[in-house]
Amino acid sequence: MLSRSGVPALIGFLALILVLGGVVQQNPILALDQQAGKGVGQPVEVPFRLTISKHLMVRARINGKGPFNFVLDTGAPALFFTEKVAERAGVAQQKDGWGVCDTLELEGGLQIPKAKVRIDTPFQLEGMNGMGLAGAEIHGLMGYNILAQYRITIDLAGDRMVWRRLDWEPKSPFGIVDKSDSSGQGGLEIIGGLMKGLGGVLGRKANPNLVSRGYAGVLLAQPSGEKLVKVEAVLPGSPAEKSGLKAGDHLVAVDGEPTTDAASFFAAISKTKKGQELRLKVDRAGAGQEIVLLLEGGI
Amino acid sequence: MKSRAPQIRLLIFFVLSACLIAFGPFGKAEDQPLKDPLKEAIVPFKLLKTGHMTVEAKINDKGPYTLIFDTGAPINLLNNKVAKEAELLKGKAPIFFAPYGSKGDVKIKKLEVGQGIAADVQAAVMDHPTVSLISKHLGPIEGIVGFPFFARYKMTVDYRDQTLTLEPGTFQPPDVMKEMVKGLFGAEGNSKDGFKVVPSGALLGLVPGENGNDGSGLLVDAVKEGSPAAKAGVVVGDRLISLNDRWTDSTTDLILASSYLKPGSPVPLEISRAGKKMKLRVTPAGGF
Repeated sequence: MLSRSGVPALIGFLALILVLGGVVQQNPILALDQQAGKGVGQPVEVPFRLTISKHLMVRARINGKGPFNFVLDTGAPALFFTEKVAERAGVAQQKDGWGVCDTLELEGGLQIPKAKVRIDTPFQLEGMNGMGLAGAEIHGLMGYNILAQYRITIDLAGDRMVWRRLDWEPKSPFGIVDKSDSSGQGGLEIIGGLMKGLGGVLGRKANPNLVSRGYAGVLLAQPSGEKLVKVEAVLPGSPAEKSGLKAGDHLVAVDGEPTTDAASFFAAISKTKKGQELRLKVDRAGAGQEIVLLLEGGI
Repeated sequence: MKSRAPQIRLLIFFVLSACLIAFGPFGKAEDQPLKDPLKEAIVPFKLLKTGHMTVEAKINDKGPYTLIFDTGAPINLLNNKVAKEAELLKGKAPIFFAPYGSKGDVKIKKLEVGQGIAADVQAAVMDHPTVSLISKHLGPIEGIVGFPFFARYKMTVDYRDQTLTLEPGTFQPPDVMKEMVKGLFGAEGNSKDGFKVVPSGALLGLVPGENGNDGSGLLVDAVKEGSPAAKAGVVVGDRLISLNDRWTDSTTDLILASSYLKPGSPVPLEISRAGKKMKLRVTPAGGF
């Protein structure tokens, strides 16, 4: 039997995989392109997503293909993506393990010219995707050689970053050559395979199947003095109209669960899907009504 | 297959721990918001030749220690040496499973990264092998500063000036471990049928059809009568290129993009109609 005190350590071990992208090996002396002076200081808004694993994820199209998902990672010495991505995007791997993207466009419209990439699958990605830790398949890491060319502002309270090109030429990253450690990871690579194996056991997928909430066709009144959720309008031909719901109705319960304000109402319907019936209790001019509404698909 | 044995043991261990974690209480307080009001702190960093950046940090007034600053790290990490010096391990029971000298979660009462001071910051104690490797050659380096610290701020990273600028933020980082376990095994995961519902932030009135390839856009199968999408001028057969500046190549993309919408806040909607790109504006409504 495991003691409870062991639990944090185990989770710590689980998280160990998520930090620090690989240390680039072989002293690659990667030459960064001179782009000095081009578009310096023009702010570009780049939407991001905070993954379940609390990584900052941005999306990119490479040579027009994709989108591919990248973790913004100052702990990675370069842009990394997998062989699979390289193949889809038509990025040829040179003998030294590097490649060049003709075009790399970040979501939001930022163009990164001639981005150098290390074509590799860091064990961190294998583990994360194998266990579905992020809630989205991660195709690569965006590290130093890209990030250093920009001044980047990140505010987790919002949903987009601001990138500005800098007028300087970052130095190439060096690798560490260590006789007792050939991987540059300190022997952590084993974990990627392990987590992939465990993900298989648990039936985890890198990309979960997402569905939208069911559609009713109800417009709600902006919250005013009254807290109860009030129907402002019912769209023509919608499931709500067919159910007999009317403008002015107050929604007081969903499937037997009382809904006293917008927050509790949306919490009550947060997992409802197309094809599902909602049993609504409404207050219409002081009289209680039961309404059964069959949800459709739609966003 | 002698070399496989430790792997298999670890694997089983993970499975066991998963069950234990899913139902075991954590009883840990959430990270507290910053107690010390902060105007703006400009924190210098050093760029290692490996491309990693390091900052100087004081932990419970001990130090300064050199730590790697890592936006890809969901947790802060400290090695055993520092944890001991900063008295983070007091009262912690020895643990059963401790790869890389792992001592589990600790709470740093005061973490100072340059002028950026944060109270009650979570960290894990472990001698991370990659950190040790970098430390051996370019160190000493004692750990990693990541998400639980920087997420509290509006942060600007500038490699040319080698500075991190920290401005007051309103985001309160959650307990990362707890969230991840919840995400893996609990309520945030997939439902029984393997589908996870992601509610839209506001109502558009669109029904998506077939996915688009490499930017060709998601087909619109239906537009609900009288809906915000209809008012914005979207018609059946249009292809959605982006919503609110987020690419909409697939239904999944549209679902995720719509989750960021707010009722009454207009956003750009880029479509392609008969091969021609057009920019529309849609004002999503409060509703469902």
